[in-house]
Amino acid sequence: MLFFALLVVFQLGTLKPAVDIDWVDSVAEGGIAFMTLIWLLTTLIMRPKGTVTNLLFFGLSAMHITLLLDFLDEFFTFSKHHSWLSSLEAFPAVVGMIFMSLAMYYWGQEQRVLNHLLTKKERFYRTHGLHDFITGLYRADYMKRQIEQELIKLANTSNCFCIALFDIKGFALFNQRYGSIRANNLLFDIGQIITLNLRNTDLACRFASDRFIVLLPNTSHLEATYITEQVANMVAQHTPYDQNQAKTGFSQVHWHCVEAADTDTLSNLLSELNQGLEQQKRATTV
Amino acid sequence: MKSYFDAETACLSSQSLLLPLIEMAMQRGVNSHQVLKGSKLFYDDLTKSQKMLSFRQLNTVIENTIHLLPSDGLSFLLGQHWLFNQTSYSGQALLNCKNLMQMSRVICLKQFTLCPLVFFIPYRCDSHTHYVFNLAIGMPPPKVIEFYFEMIAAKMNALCKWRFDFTDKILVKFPFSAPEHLEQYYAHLAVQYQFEHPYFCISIPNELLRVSQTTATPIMHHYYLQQANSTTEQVGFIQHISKQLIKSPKCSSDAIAHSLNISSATLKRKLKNHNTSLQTLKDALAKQHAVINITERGYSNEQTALQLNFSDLTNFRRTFKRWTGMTPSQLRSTVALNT
Repeated sequence: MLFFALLVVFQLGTLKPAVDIDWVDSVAEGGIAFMTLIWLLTTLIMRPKGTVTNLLFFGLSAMHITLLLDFLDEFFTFSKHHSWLSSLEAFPAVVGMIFMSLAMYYWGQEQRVLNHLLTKKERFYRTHGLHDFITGLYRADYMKRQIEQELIKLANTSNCFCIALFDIKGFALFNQRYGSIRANNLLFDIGQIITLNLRNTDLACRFASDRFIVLLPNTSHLEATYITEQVANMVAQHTPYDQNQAKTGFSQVHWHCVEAADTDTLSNLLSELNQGLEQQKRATTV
Repeated sequence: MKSYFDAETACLSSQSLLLPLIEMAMQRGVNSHQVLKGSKLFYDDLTKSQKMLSFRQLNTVIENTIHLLPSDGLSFLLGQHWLFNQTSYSGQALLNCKNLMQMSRVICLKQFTLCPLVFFIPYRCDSHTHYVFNLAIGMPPPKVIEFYFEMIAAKMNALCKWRFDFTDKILVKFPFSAPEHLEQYYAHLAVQYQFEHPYFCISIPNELLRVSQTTATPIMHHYYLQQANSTTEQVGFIQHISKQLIKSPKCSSDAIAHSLNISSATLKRKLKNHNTSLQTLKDALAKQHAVINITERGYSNEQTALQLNFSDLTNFRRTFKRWTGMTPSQLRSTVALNT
């Protein structure tokens, strides 16, 4: 299509004398055409193959043809016989925009499917900068923002909420024995198990190292303890396999759960949670 | 031959810190050339066995890592990794010491191999020994200094967890305020820690310095130490000067320049190039000594002023306030309040 358009222009048009060319205009129009080409290429590189990508590709290509013709217009004049070329010039763009609108519609649907996959891993807003690469969950910073918001909510309404912390016993040993790659895989698996065993309203994030943190909104301490214990049991039952199919494992999960009071701040809530976990760890090792 | 090296000298081995750091970054989805950007190092060069790098290059890489993977706790992981992967004779000599006391001696003896980036000064007091750490080569940006200190704390923590059972009796004092990524401290450090201390310091109760290691073979210690003897020992530029300042605190810049065989203008330029000055170094050492005397040894202002060669008390009090932001008596009451 693109080559056909170029061919037609070069065949039917005659070059304008240099004096007649409006350079400022041609630089701007050339810039627009160039940028659509960049968008086109990035779409192809960044997006997985599929309907949405195809539609985006056709839409952007069509728009690019119009913009290119518009750009070439600055350098070529057409005889009266071929004036149809100028009149048809905008046509591909209209078709392209229709394609793009369709693509947006399907993209929206695709996004809804992805959002569904992210329940329990994401709440209300998306920010890829806080994403933890190893577990596929958000990092502690994301959780901190969420807790801050919940604390504000708690001060205004009286919706109590709880946060729970999990710590995998013997993870350092696992890391030493099986190496960091397998340890990272284990962290990923544990992240998945935690999210599987939560309710849809809850949010799980990686806290630090082998610790995971869960936010349980609108939940009493009793209820939260029950859920947390369930999750901890499921995680403790997980058996990672190594390449020879032999069992490799970690023995236990420590967990601690606190309910936020409206006098709490983010930092003392987190430090309370961690101290509780430390105490729990000490109690089980003695 | 020069007995010191500066921030530009390519003499640090890459395998103890740089390679594991790059590996960890890559496991977290960051490309190696992003981590090495601006350091004039190339990934392919690093795998060559004898590749050496300079302190400045290391700082650049760490700065990149902090930027690319903020609050990811890599400093702690790197510290642990360092301890568990000691392959040199010096490292084995360290791990097979009888106790912490001997370990601290081995670190001083084999500092170039074991910890060329920092040096420590032990201050023995009644109940505790305080190991005050200072940067040995140059002054990197504050974030990078935090990274190094976190790494040292992680090494200490991992060592205690591995070989001793008194981890929670060790106190690490960081010279900065509690960072954003406090959760990493929660998860990685079983030792006690405090923030906003005037200097970086690890305090160990005296009786624990003599507690024997559980899994060491002390008989091998001498063998490893002998094997390690062949390596040449040199210290970082800042440490070299600090050593002279510890011996003679009033040492003039001319005298130091003379001992380094450079002019005093060159010395000044060189110090500036390492982000410091002679006065800053003098102040840092005197501050550490004064704070230890006042808070840990229970010395009076007069005793401390006398020990640090101050001519009069008012001058000492004023200088002390400039160093720490508090007068000696204010500091005493803050410490009393904290304990």
